[in-house]
Amino acid sequence: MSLLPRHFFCSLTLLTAGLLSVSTAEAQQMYYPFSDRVPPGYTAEMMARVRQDDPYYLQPIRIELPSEGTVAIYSANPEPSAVLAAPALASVNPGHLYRLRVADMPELPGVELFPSIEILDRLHPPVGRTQNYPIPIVLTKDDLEAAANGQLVTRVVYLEEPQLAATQDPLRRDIPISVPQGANALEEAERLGRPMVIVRIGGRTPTAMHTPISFFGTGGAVDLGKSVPVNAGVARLSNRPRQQAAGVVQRTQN
Amino acid sequence: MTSHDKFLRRLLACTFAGSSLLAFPGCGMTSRARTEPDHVYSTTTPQMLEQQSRGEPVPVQATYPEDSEAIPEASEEGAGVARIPSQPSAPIDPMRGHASAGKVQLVSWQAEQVEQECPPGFYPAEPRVECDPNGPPIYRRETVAWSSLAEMYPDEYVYDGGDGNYPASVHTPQRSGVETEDTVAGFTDHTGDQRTAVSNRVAVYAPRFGSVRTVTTLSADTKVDKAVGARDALAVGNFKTGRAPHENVHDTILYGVETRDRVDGMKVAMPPAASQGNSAANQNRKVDEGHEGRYYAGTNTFNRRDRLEIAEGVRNAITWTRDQYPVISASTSTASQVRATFKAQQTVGVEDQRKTKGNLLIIKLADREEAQSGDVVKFTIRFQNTGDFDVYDVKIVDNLTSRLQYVEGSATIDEAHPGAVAVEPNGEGSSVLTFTLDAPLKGHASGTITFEAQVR
Repeated sequence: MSLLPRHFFCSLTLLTAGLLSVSTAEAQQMYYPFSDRVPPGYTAEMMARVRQDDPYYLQPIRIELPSEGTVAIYSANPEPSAVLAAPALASVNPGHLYRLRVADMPELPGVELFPSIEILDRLHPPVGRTQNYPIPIVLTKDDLEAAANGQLVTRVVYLEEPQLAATQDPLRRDIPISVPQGANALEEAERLGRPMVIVRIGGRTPTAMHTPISFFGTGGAVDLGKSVPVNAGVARLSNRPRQQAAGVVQRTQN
Repeated sequence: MTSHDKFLRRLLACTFAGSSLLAFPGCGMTSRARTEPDHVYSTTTPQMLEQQSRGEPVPVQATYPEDSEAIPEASEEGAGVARIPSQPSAPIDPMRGHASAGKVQLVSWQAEQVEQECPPGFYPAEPRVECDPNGPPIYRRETVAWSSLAEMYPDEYVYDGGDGNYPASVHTPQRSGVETEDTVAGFTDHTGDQRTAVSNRVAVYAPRFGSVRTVTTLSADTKVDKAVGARDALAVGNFKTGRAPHENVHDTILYGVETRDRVDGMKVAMPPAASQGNSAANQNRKVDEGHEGRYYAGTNTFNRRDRLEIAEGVRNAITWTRDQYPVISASTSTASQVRATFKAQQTVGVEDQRKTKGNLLIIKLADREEAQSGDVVKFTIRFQNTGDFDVYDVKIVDNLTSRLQYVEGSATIDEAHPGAVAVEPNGEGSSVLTFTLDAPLKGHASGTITFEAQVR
């Protein structure tokens, strides 16, 4: 009993001081309003409202696969706007969400995936040279295999900050920049440069009956420019029949 | 000592310890001693402050020259013809023949003149050229790009040239402040001063991308974020927004014309319709009735006119009866002549017409405005001595960004100004190029240096 009042106030004082120091340290952390874990399309819409850019500007993108394949682009319609051969060149509106379908890949035979791309920002190239500077969206073999195995792969493509420029090409380096699960990849990309596109590759596939129209995007424009659609009979197509990949496909509803 | 006393002693000790901990900087409690004085005394009067706040000039009492004294009095013997004063308001004393001395006070004012002086020392973040009010204009840092969007979206360009955050120095044995993208030149003028010149910036459109990857596995798990009851202090962070170059146009409509008509500062505000004014010559008519008057000449009446005539007659009579001697002044001066002869030995010198100190101007250019990864860009550095005197120990340093890779053997200097180039790694994946001229650069001479770099 005599010990309790003797040490109680000292302990209370020290504990109070400790809590104050901890809360002060937390007060120095900044809150990042955007995240890659919010519903697809939300971040692009918010950034479009903040920037107030020209809503009709068409930003070229280039979708690359590990080697070859077909890329279909959907924009708020179950029917694709275009089916192109990889690497696919198209122009889309910033601030919108688009759905892709990648298939006919020799590395993943019989695998059909539906990644989504969320266009956050645009470039400002010289006049008449817009098509020369598309945003590269590279789908690597590891990403496609992880998505086919039921994992959700999120890639945030950013415009590199010149002051933090790397010697090697940061987009095609062998060891990509990764953040742990649960971390905000968008915040990390913001630290390294300017986020341009969020690519989400998962195992979700549309069904004929229960797929909402929002699955196919938010209705942005798609311009092919000089790209030649696959369905025009010119681009190469894989003639091999579709085969079930061994132990690969686990179609889950995300 | 009772238990109550002991308890109070322990409580005071713990409270003092806790206060000491809270006083640490990490706990956010700081104290700042008050150093500002409590009172400020001024010698300025309230009227002067009020005038200064309205933007009016403060009146200053004028001084007068020594010769503007009152007209001297004429002596009784007469001093010749009386001087008529220029001020009609001053009464004329007919007996003395001059105006009574009246004090005239003038109050003049002069606007406060602010002489533009060059700030002491050097301009921050500017070329290291000492400010000389009489010297040539200081070269300002500019960016050469295909459009002004380079300043709005710099992350889409590869820059080279200029001087970055810290001022560069290339004179010391070890360079300092030469960061990536910097292009500076060091030289010594004819007085021995070591100076630095900075080039402009060149922007080449060459965006490059990277990606951040995260993999999420769908599994059930428990994630612990923080302890129960912990308090979060959140603050809105900053995020980048790229804005389009929209313009807000604000049209200002002329609503009137304000003119200052009078010297005392009164302003007259007139609407546009009434801005025109008609000025016509006004006729000043003054009828001096004060000096006119009817008078009647009588035997026993002396009026003012007659009185003046009589005074003039008396003065004339005095003048004629005055003893005046003809004064002849003559001067005798001997005729003299000055003859100068020059000896055969003479010292002839050529006057040095050079006046301005040597100053180096460097301009950087690129042969293309946009490039893809793998393209080669050719950079040109033009240097010129804009002063009359020569400059010595000319050294041009170019630190390339990591986006540019120097092409070996591509550096060239024109034949009129031979020199050497040294390539060193800059520790950031690129190179530092140092161009050194072998001979001093004469006044108003110029040259060119070129090199190539590949865009990564």
